[in-house]
Amino acid sequence: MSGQVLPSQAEAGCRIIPFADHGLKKAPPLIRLRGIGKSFGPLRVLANVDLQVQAGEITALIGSSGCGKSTLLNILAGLDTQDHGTYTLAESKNSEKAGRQRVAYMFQEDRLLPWRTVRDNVALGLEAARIEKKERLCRVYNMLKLVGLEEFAGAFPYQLSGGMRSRAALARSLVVEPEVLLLDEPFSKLDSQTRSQMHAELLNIHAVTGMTAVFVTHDVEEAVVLADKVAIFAPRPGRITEIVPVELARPRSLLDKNVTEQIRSLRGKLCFNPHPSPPPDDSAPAEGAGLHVSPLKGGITGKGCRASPGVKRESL
Amino acid sequence: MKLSVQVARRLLLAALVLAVWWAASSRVPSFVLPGPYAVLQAFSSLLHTPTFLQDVGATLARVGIGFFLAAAAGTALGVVMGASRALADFLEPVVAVFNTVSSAIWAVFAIIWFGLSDASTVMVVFMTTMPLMLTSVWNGTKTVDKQYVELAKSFNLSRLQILAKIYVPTVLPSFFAGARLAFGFGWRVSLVAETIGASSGIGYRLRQAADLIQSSQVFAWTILLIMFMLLIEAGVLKPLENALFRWKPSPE
Ligand SMILES: Nc1ncnc2c1ncn2[C@@H]1O[C@H](COP(=O)(O)OP(=O)(O)OP(=O)(O)O)[C@@H](O)[C@H]1O
Ligand SMILES: [Mg+2]
Repeated sequence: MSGQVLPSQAEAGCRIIPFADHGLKKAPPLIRLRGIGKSFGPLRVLANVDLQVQAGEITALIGSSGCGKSTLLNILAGLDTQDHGTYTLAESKNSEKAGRQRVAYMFQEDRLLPWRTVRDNVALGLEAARIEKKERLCRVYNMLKLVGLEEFAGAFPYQLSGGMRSRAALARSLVVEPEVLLLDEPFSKLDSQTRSQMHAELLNIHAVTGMTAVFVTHDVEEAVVLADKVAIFAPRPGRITEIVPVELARPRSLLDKNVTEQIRSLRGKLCFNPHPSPPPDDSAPAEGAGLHVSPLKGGITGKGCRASPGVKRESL
Repeated sequence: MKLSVQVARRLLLAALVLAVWWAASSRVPSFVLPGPYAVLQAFSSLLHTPTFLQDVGATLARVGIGFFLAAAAGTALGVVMGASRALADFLEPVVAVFNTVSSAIWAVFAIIWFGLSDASTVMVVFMTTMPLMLTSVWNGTKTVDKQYVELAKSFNLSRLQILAKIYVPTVLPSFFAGARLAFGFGWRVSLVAETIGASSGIGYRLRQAADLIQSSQVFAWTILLIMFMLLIEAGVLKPLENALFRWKPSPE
């Protein structure tokens, strides 16, 4: 799945602009955290967090509840500031593109605006970027199709199930084609079947756009399936105790011995495994039965959305 | 099936009220309680009075202007008080005082200040409805969810966009509830104001009817007013509410 790119799409007028060249690693990191410390009043939430993320890399943050993972994402998103240390997000040429956002954040709660339909919720970031209405709608619908919600475009959040809500929230973060995507326990409310479909979709999007992602999870399997490296958090105060690289070829199947081996070893590193992954409910019917997520043929959202087709691919 | 049951119930209630009314009215002098037929006659002659439309128009205009000014001022003040904690703390006693002053007292002041004029009624409507609007909007601003504001910031929405896309939709239900309450209130106090501070309008005609002990006239006006309010409720407010707040789960 990973290599399905690009000339035909460029002809079709898609704007898929890969900016991370996977062949050219060891460029300076896109995200660099050094000695990050954060307290809320007397409560030390983060102490001396160091983390570097290369462009195009997927990083998992794993650790027990309350150890400051969400706080760290808030800092990465620029919604909060650290008390100590430095956070730098390297400049990149691609950040100035219209309708593309540098950092998008999928919060732990879905935060769908109750007064907006699914369609309008997903469009929020594009409205901020002042994307004209036609392109906006087009991109929104492509995104909704991707997460299997196109039939619910006109529904209000209260009419959705928990899993559908989190898919809508994911669509809202992806539609702005972020350079860096932050995800806080994005798939924890999905049934296992939909969850693995969403994993595949995320990896697709990642393969096509070269987006950088940092996600929080309590699920060791999820971490190993998705991430290039896993940062293990220890609590009180929150800090990263170990960064485990996951150097397995994609797609990674849970049937693959190397993958299960890696999962077991990571479980061992979390030793007391404070947060077992939620029990899989395979017996329950899949969220939104009949959901079919089409493989990513036309890139993510850009297909045919642009007034002027054939936008050139940018070279770094 | 369900609808027809409801209609039947309403008709039964109406018949019951009419029967009781008729029975009671046949036992007392008609200036105390006029019978249904006398009221019906008064109603039809009322509709044919040459000044009828003028009176209704005058009252409507006064209520409308007073309410509109109150909604504008109340909303502005409510937003400002919602935005600034210090100002809210400072102004809160004033709001409390305004809320306790009776509309009759405003009416008396209005006559002293403006005499028999449109302005008197407008002022009474304004003074009684403005605090209601202010309080509703102010309470609405307190319900703005910080998480949504954070979300908007994460998408780089400007302050103006946050105001329009997060604050306004959050406050709108409170604004609407306040406006509905205030309009009903303004409409009722306007009649009180007109009975003493105007030389035209529905309240003025009511006063005339009272002076001449024309009870059937008073009843006719009352029925007209009730019909008017029901019409506004069913024809304007309900549809508007349904359209504006489709996003709310229905309570059933
Ligand atoms: N705005 C705040 N004010 C005060 N304390 C806060 C605030 N935000 C977070 N905290 C505290 O900081 C600690 C870390 O919170 P955080 O949400 O980052 O944890 P987390 O690792 O995301 O946990 P979980 O896995 O349960 O989501 C918690 O003890 C929490 O109570
Ligand atoms: Mg969290």
